[in-house]
Amino acid sequence: MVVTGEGRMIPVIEGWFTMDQEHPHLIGNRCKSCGDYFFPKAYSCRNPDCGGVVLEEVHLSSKGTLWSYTNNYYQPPAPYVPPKPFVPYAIVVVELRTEKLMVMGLLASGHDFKELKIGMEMDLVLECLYKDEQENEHFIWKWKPTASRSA
Amino acid sequence: MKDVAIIGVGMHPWGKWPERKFVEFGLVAARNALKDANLEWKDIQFVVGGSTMYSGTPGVLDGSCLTEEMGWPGIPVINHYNACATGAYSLDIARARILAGLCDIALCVGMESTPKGFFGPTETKDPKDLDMLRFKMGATNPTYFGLYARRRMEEYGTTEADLARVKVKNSRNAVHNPYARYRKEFAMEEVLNSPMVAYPLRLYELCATSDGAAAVILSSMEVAKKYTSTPITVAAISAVSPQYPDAIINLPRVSTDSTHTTVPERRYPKYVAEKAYEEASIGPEDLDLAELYDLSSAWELDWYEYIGLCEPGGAERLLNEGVTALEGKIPTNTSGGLASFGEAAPAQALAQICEIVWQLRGTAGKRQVKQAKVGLSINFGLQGNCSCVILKR
Repeated sequence: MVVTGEGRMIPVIEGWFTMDQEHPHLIGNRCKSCGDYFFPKAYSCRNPDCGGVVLEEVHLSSKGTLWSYTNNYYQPPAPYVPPKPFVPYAIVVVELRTEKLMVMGLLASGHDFKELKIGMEMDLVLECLYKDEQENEHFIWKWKPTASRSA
Repeated sequence: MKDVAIIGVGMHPWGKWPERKFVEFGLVAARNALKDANLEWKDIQFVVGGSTMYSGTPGVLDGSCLTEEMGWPGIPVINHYNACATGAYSLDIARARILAGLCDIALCVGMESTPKGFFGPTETKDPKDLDMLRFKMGATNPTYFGLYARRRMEEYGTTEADLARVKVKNSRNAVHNPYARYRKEFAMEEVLNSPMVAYPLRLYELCATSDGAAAVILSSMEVAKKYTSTPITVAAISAVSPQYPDAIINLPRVSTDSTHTTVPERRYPKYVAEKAYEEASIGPEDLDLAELYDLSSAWELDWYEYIGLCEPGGAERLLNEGVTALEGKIPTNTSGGLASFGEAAPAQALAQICEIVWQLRGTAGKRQVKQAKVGLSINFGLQGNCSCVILKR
């Protein structure tokens, strides 16, 4: 008899986002000397004119503007875990409202790339990317259009 | 700076041979280059191998593997990897060695045996490995190219026909290139009917992944004149990395630097060309041909602007007016480009060099650009790698 796991929620990568599905945030850091933002967190300031080594962790804006998007029609190699059956999926790039850095992400479920318009406002969401054999849900951030009626 | 010259070039055709090893392709290319230069293996004093990332540790040390197969001569061998810019960086390393007076004749060689389909990540156990994360998300190399192409459409109104036309033009050139993998002329309808891979890019608007190898032999100009009557001058080798902040998303990252505090002054694929022009003391108007790293059709259009052939947004006009066709004023990708070769990353930049050398020597056959005297090659790869080479007859 197969014993199934307890089905935990696991981030696909630790420490890059809060696991709060109501109000998710990406986690970055900010240089205390020059004020530059980094995502993911930098080891030290990446501004070559600064050289600061003291950074503070910050929650980044969860709103941004759509810079570009694409729709992928072929199944990628591992470690991509395809849904069964495989379906095309959209990937978008959004410029964060405050920090002015771009973050790539999958388009949230229930949305189609054809509804996207470059320049539109997008919101950060968290979704299950895939479930493993132990029934754990691996979570990742995604982007959804702010002005949408879908779930 | 004293002159450094190319005295021999050689290639193995691009294609797919799953049962053959990377070093087999390298041996053919190296031997072809030696024959071209009228040299024996024992004349080579320094080897630079561009690593392949798909054949384990031996692949990373492919220059050493090749040297062993050719017969250990005791000379120094450097193996290195700079993504798609590898071949040009190999030239850079060899040139510096020659100019430093540490050797007279150097062999640069790149070779690769690629997996079928998409390039995947090199497996690591590091959960924070960016390459693993972006593949978990499903961001393949074509994903990034699709994002750039869609953005280009937004900024400049690039049409589906424009994207298809790049492939058609390049395929026409490849018909006359025995080293290209795809040697048939594609029609517009064929390209437009090919399956969508990463919107808006279709299968025939994206480069494939290929096996292949190329080799280039350099020497100082003084030594060159002993071996050839057609030495090709290395007028510039430019290699830059991005200037902070790098605001355009690039492989394998899933985010960019922030422009919150600092606004970027320059884009490095453009800057790398400017630096090369400066070193060669020429401008884009002096070029007779250019080999541009067309990872996708949209990339070729971007390159026209980065290398200064036209203003931003003007590339489509150049393409559609035939300016960059073989018979045009400034032919691009006379070899057929990545559109016709596919990509064998560590060998690709050297393949660009081979094409320019043949053109400048007047031995490009039916692909010949008349009176070609000055050629440029340029490439772009992940993690901020790009480089630009200018050759003169």
